[in-house]
Amino acid sequence: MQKKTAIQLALLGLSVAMIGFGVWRGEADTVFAKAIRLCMECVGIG
Amino acid sequence: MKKMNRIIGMILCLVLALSLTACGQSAPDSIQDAQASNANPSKYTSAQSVLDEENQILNASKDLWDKVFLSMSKENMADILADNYGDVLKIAAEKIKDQFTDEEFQKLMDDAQQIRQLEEILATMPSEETPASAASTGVFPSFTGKDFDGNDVDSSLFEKNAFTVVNFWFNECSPCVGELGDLNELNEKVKEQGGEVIGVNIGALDGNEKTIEAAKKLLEAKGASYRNIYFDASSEAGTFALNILAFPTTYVVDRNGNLVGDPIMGGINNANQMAQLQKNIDAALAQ
Amino acid sequence: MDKKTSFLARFRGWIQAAATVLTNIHLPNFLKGSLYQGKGKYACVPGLNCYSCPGAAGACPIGSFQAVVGSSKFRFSYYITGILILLGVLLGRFICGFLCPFGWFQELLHKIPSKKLSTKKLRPLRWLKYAILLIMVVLLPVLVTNELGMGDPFFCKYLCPQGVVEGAIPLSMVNPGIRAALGKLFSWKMGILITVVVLSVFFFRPFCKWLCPLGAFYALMNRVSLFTMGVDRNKCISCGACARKCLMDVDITKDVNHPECIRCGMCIQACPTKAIDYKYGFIKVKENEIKE
Repeated sequence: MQKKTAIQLALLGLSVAMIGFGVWRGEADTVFAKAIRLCMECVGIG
Repeated sequence: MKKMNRIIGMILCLVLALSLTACGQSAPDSIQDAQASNANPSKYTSAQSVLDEENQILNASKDLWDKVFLSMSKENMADILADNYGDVLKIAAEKIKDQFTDEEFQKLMDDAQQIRQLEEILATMPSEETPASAASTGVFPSFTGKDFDGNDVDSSLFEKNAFTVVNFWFNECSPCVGELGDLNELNEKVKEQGGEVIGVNIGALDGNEKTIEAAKKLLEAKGASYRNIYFDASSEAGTFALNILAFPTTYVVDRNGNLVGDPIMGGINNANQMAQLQKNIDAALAQ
Repeated sequence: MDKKTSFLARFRGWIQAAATVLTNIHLPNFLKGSLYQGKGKYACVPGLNCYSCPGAAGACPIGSFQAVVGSSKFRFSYYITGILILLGVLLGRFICGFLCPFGWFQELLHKIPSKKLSTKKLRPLRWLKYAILLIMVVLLPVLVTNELGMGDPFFCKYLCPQGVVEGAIPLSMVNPGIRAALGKLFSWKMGILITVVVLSVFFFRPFCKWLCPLGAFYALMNRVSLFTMGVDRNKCISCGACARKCLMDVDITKDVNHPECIRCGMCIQACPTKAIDYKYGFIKVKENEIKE
């Protein structure tokens, strides 16, 4: 089960790195901009 | 195995039920199902359904009616004023009778007559959702700001136009971006009537540079050359803009800065919405 | 240890209710017909919860993913995928069983008295959710784009019933402009919602099993999740009560990290010898435990 623990730790590290990278390149801003305004067609109103 | 057959039978029933509901009959808040084909008053459940019927008639002969709408400019609208929108359409069409064949003109007259009858039904309905042939529904707050090219603008631009179509959008909204080309076409068309299309990008309020850069790219790629403006988010106009819930939303503003008719919600590249917009424009011209 | 696990399993309904309220905490917005626009929306909530819900405190992970990859700037979202992997490792499908509002919604519908049908023989349908994840969420917004490289959020736009429940319906009730904008697309989505609602009465969590792309992702993460189940081999008498009780068609004694196990704990409560337990952490499998 050492192998599994290693995979879990690696994934935890990877996910944090991915989150950091995503925020750095502006993805979080895109998420925010879309989430605070209603694009009607995007949610199936229309 | 028996149980399996029963399950399959159930799923089939549900799929059949689904195919019925997908025809729009079960959507409780949808007003689409009220479209009747004859002007029978009892068939209309709401003012909106009457308006939808009128729009359908106009759309059926879109090419013909477009010619009529184009001819309605601030110069000749003064003598087209009439209480019933159907009469307004009749008179406007008669003015340019020679642009149509006898058949086409007869179609226009028939359409106008039908709309006249629908308007009479509409008048009997107790509804707060008054059609665009009624007065304005508020005022566009005064503002000072800039356009995307850095020029100063303020609300005096409304006076300079016979009417202004104000479209609210934001960069991440794909249907908003999708209609930028159509809005540009509309701008070219309404120029002849003395009107103008103006865009307000919600993310660009306060002059957010990143957003404006991105917006400019989108506008360029879509070939949209009409003015886009921004102003302070904390101003009255900014509050008005930030209160808009759904996008894209399009308002028509008359010469005096009044909002005309209800805002068009959703893209104007949809026949229904376009016809509604046209109604608002005609009402603005008639002010 | 016993007290703790039975608490989670026993009070799951209340936890689901609390999670739904916390996820949609901005209640006054329902009456105003507006959206929460604060900084909370930079982050995702763990369950399937539409950002167009007036009360939503955060963004939907599936909606956000499509928003990022559908924008002209990006083709993939490290931010959202990172969040999903993190949540997957930390909690796995515990999120489905305890924190997802739409999962709770289906379970409430399932409580409506009716003949209940088993999904055991409909197993192949489970693969559909992975296809939906891959095609509608990941690929289509990147492949089907306009001239600017912008793609539609295909799952949100054409399939997700949660958007109808939480967004379209509450908003159109208080906003006449939105009501007027409802058209063919809404009718289609409404049809899907009604189908899911009806199916949920007869089947247990049909959307979670067959359609949910978020559940599909968490299912993939179940095997590497820190939140897991343990079966004490010394106490287990192989009576099969757990497998019979399980509404996700999982035999926990054969596989404690089965991708379809949403950690609901019904097996824990069914086990006559209390052999089954929740487990959390970097587990070193002990001798008396059933190997995965």
